[in-house]
Amino acid sequence: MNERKFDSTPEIQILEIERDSIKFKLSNVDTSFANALRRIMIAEVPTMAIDLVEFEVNTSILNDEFLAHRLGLIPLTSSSVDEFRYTRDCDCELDDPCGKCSVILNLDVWNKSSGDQSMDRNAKTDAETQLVTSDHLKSADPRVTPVHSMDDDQDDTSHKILIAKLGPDQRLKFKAIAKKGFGQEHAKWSPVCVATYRFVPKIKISYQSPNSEKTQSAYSKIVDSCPARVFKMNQDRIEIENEDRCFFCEECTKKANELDAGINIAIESEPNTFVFSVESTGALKPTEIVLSALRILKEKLRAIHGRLPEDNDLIR
Amino acid sequence: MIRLPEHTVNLPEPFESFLLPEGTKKITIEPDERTPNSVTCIIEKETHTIGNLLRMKLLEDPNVLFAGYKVPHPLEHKVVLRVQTQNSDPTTAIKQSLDSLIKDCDLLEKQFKEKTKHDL
Ligand code: SF4
Ligand SMILES: [Zn+2]
Repeated sequence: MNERKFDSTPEIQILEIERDSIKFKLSNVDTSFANALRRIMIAEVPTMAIDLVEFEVNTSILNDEFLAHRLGLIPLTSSSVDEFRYTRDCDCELDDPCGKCSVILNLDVWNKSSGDQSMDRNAKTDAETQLVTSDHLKSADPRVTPVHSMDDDQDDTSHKILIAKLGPDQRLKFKAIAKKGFGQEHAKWSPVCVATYRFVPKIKISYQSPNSEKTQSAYSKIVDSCPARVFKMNQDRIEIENEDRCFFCEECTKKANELDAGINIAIESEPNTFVFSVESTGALKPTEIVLSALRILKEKLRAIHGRLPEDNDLIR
Repeated sequence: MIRLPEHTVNLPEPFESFLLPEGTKKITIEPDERTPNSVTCIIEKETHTIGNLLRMKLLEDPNVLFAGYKVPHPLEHKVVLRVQTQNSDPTTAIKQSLDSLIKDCDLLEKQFKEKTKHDL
């Protein structure tokens, strides 16, 4: 383990930003910091999600609780989550939530197709089944809507989230109330699908004996032993082609030792450096998630700092 | 909203892990009677996130002789941090560590904003 200095300067380097994912390199911090950031992104970054559902009509084959759970898991656009309060901090009544802490989404879908009443199963076609999707949820607040509608201009149902399928004459009508929360309370509020970090590999190859026929065949065996295809042969040497792909399985090291061909491969990781990959559910932009996590971490630390007793209170 | 009568279930409320009940202190500090310059610091409603972060930062401080933490039980949502220093007030050491971490967060936030300003 590398000794870190108390006041070394951390660094962030963006590797890749997509619409719903980000990769960045965090260096010069301790593992505990990387881990804190990861844990906060998963469990403590607030978003909006459906929390209460009042069913008026449900003649579908799915029961209320089941549907409510499905609804909770639909990501809602939460970029304005900071403008909302937690219901527990709000001064409205619990059974009458206000617009400062919650958003109401209504849905009413009635499959009016009468259906073929004959008992002939083959006469019933799929066309009678109606899909209820997240697109049917009508939000009272444009800031908080189901995520798919962000960039969907074509009428493609595959982008929408399926809630239920209604048979002939079945109906679904309810009022859903979305609230602010974070992943620690329930995973539906977590803004990330994936938030992980990995170490940056450093591969060192040292040759101890001169080239020969024997070493040549051993080298190509070592190259083939790597499941991530990190190496390639370059004339009579092993070349590192895709260092980033290495996942520390040590197969190459084992092979090199086993073949005893005068070659040594050491797999190390760059000290205090982490490559994060964060994938958003769509509720927040990936950059918003990282920023929010950094802010929350800072706030937590500040809160602890502020509540510590004054210096020398304890020295007696 | 349907709620079961309280006595029928002993499932802990989901908010118990982060909501500080009214009248509870976030931090309690107990000086150790037997060893000099050492305290046990109990931080309510925090997890390994803060516990481990703070411990590792304290260990980077050359003035800190001992820093360790535990989460006593998975259903007790608190972190117990023990710090012993060479010759100063351990709470000052904790504060310095917090300051250093806050500085790191600030710096990273600035860097991140600067480097992603075109994508935000
Ligand atoms: S450790 Fe595994 S993945 Fe990495 S280079 Fe060796 S064989 Fe390939
Ligand atoms: Zn309210």
